[in-house]
Amino acid sequence: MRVPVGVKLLGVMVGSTLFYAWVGQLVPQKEVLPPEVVEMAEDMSTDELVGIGQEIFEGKGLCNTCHTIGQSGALRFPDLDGIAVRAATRVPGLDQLGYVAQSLYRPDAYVVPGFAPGMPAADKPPVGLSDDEIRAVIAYLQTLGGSATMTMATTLPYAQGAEPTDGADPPGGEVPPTATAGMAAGEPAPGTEAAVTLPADGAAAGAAGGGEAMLARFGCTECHATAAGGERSLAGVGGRLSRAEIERWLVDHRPPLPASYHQQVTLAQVRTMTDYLAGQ
Amino acid sequence: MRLPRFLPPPKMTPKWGIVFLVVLLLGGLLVAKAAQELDARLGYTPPIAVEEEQVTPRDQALLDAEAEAAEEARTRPYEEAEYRAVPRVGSRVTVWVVAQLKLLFAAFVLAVPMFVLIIELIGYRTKDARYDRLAYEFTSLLAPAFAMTAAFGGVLVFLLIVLYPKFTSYLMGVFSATMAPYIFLLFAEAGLFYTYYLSWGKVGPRLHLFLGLMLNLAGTALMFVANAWLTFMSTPAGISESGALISVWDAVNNYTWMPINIHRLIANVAFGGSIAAAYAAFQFLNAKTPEEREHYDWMGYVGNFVAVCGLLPLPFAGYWLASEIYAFSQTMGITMMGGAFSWLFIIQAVLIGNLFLGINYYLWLGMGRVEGRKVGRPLIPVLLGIITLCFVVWATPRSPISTPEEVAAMGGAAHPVLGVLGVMSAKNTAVNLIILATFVSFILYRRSAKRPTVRWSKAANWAQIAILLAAAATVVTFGIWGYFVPAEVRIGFSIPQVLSVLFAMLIVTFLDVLLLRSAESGTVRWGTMPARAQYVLIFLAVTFTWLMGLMGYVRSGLRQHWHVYGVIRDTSVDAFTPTLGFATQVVSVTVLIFFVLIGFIFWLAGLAHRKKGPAYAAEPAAEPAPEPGSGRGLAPAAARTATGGGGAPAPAGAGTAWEERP
Repeated sequence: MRVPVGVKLLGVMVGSTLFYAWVGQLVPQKEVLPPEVVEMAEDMSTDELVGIGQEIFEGKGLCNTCHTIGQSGALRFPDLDGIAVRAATRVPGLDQLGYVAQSLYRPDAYVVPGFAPGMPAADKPPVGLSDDEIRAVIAYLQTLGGSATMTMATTLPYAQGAEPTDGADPPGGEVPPTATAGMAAGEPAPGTEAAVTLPADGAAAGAAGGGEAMLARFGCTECHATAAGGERSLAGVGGRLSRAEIERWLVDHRPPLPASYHQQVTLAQVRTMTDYLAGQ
Repeated sequence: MRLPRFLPPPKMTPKWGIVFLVVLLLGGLLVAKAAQELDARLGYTPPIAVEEEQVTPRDQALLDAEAEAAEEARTRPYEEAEYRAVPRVGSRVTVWVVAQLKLLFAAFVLAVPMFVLIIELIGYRTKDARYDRLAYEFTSLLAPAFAMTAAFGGVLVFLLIVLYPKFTSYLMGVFSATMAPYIFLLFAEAGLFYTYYLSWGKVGPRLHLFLGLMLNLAGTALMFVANAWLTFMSTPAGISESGALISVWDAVNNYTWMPINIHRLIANVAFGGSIAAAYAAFQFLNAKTPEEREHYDWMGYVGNFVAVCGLLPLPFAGYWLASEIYAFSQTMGITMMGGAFSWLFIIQAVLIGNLFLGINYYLWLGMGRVEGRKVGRPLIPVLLGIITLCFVVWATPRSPISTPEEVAAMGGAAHPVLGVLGVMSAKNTAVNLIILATFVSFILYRRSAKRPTVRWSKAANWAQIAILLAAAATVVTFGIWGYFVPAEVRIGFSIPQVLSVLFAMLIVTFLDVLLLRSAESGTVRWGTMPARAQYVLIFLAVTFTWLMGLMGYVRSGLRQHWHVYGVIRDTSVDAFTPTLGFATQVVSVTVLIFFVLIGFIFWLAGLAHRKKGPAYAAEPAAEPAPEPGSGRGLAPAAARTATGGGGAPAPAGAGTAWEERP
């Protein structure tokens, strides 16, 4: 029997489509649900925090999308096995809680050598964890090589309304003494284009001159004009963005800034520049 | 009326008139008297009226509820709906299918003018009418496809406004500055297309080519504007954390805008070529005369050639796009390649593997229509082996689906042996080798009808072989080396792999053009391709379409539960990422709908061309053209001589676009 051409054409078309649909059924079938709100009670115990923290780590927090636990070799992001021990000594001046909290709230402030920056801040979208959820994640991370001590009453650095603990800024951000010794704020150092005397903390660094000079020193003014009407002008940015948004841009700029920026800039400097820009 | 004869005809006199009136009066009085007595006996009866129905408590409650609802509706303040639902199917699937259909037709409409312009230009430069007629026949497919694109575009906008009013309003707010240019470009493209199509052969050739160029520019610009909207949703820029617009240009020029522009431009060419080849295959299989078969064999070859030209650089554009996604968000990048969507790329490997197998098979079959020596025949099994092996490597998952016992036996989720093939080093190596093998198939096809005559041909042949082997060795070396270096170094290895393949293809092609410039040509018997080659072209078109649907899903699905990633959250009932099985079902349904519609367009086009059948049949088959894979002399002889264009729908009363007008 001679099969009409139209039937053959239909057969090829439907057959190949069904074949690909069948291939699609062979792979693992997983429906990814949007993250749910995690109910956190004020009187939760440390063990409860650890349990919730692990759930967030594996789900809503997307942590295990990139991080592994107990793997070695060529990894894209640091393995977290034993993080409780390493966190206490990773950055001089930061204790375990301070380091882990900084890693979650300001992941680009310190990047483990050998890895590229790229982790999103846990309290910002797309992850967008609440302070209590981050508290739970830290409790879980404390169990990776140590014991959890986190409670709902523990003061959490970087949480809303909280200030970082003393010495929370990475020391790598300190400007070399040669660039700062014996100079007034905003005065260029010999042999440098725009060196500044760094303030001791963000609160004391509100001077506009300091913030402006820092923008120049970190190369911001190479792309951004400071005068109104210039290309990507920063003039009036304080009216367009909130302080939090300006700070966010300074720590998580798009497109990403050179790694040297993240290696050098301190939180105090970020706040100085934020203060300056917020006043523009 | 006639009265009976025994009655004398009445004679009306005044006396009889008075008697008649008296009788009438007395009769009336008697009737009135009788009616009065009857009325007195029966009594008064009121007029018939409709009795009111008894209202049950339930009915009353319903009436009250209705009144209450009406009152509430009158007093309720206006609230903008965030979402509306489509029963049973759901809003997301409805928009998904319509958007994909619109995209497929738009891709076809944008791609065809690109290679039509090139074919027309070849015809103009060579003064060869065959190319002009071919370009016109390709263009004739555009008119109904254009209408389909516009129709689906309109439906899509309607659906977005109705089903996602709040989000659509936000998106239109951010990109309000781009709406006017978009509308202008839309009208410009439509106007230029119909001018280009309808003025074929009626205006000067240079003006016509200029119209074609402008049509392409308008279409490309239109796509770029639309791409800004959709890429913004995945990789937003130019807005604050709360979504307020800071810079329209930054929103347009987001991370993935230009990579998507380039990727789509190339992918559209590959897709358009494959659909045009499928049209030729359809017409070939329904051809009634040898001349028709000859013409559509050539047309199918050209369409497939265009598809291959688009397919080969596509993986490189894909690399760029993926790297920009990683640059925007490592989380998104890893979700794509190592998270929820990682298995999608196994399906993609099956599709692309089939594409390469099909393309190579078609080229190998094509060697059969060349008379004389077939230098490449012995290499076909080798090439088939390489392509199959690379296909298997590409489609090998790192972590196969396993039971807990199997995982325990393997010592982890990754298979101890096959897992080695599941990493990017192996896959990059496989895809580059497949591209090289396909390129070799094409070179062998070109050589099947040629014999170089230049003195240095032997040296050039060896140089070509050495370059190809060196490129393959580079690809394999970096592939193996990638297992022994950290990830950040390994990622960079894809660049020398890609560059070595591109370099080899460029140099070998350059040498080949020089070698074959004055070569002896064999005879190509167009129209002798077996029917299975035509079904391969149909299969390739389905696979291309399905692949576009799948990649459209991953591009959009990467946003997961976000309308605008990290900024505007999807809070609808569809804010979950469906299983890959469900996604492939939606893609399959979309592909089938597309082919039903495009099949209808092919059928319509076929009807239009069949009207010129007698002119065709009257044309004798002329000498065959000998040069496959090259520009000049590519076309079959029948097309060269046919007054109707060898099956091409030449415009009535017009010659070719390049003919000089008086």
